[in-house]
Amino acid sequence: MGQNFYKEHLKFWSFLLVCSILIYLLAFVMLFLWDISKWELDYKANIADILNVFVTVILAIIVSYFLAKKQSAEKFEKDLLISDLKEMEVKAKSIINLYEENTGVIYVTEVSEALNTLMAGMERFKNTCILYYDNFSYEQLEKSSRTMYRSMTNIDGESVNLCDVNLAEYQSLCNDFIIQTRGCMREISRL
Amino acid sequence: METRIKIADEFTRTPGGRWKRLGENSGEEFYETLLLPRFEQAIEERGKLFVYLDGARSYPNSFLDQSFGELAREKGVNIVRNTIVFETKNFPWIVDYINKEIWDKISTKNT
Repeated sequence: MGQNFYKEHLKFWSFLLVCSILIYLLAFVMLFLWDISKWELDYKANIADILNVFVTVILAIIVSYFLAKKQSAEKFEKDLLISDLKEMEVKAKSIINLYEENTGVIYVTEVSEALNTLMAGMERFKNTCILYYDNFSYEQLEKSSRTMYRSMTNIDGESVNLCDVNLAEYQSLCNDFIIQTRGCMREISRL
Repeated sequence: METRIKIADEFTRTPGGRWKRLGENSGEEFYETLLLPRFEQAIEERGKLFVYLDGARSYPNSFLDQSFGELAREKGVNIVRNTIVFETKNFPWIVDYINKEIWDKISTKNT
């Protein structure tokens, strides 16, 4: 994320700098073309001018207030979604820890409950997306969570020996899920 | 009268794995003792079978596949889909999972 993030910022600021220089040069050339020495300034202010300034200032304050309000509401919604995603990432890591820290056997109910929490989190994220960002695509994340659930809770008996568990596969599924959550976080922060 | 199954009250709060020979509260046991008989009863009465999922702690994939999946493999996806009505507040994703990941796949395999 880091390199791309800085590259994009560098691009944006360079573009802004070039635009400012161009606008400055253009204004400079135009002032010369119009021969500003012949201009006359009227220092008298009439009621229309004062009213004009007053209305402009009030409008600027109102517009900036509503823009700032809208932006903070959007930030709040994004923070909610991102915190849900972070929570899911932590949960996914804790599921893998279940396998790494246990010795002997692992019970189906234990795995199933852990995955249930993750899937409930996914459901909450999905519903929040539907509420705030109708066109946000979470399908890959959902698919990845389902693959993890299907694979990890596909246990024949009430428990499974840890030596029979394909931990590498589970780690890979978990990594895939974490990558998807991070991708979603990136997409949300760009919205 | 409404045909129904309350899994947590009538079967278990902790559904287990796939096969009954490998442990308690398995999907196979649930299928044989509750799901299949009640489903046949609902069909006979030309009614619906209401399955209440809430109250259980969680549902493993193997349990769902060996019960609801097996029922769809035995009786046909369409009739099962039209007969069973899931009732839940806590597990809406389980209903979605059964529909899309179990029944849809069986349906695709059969066509």
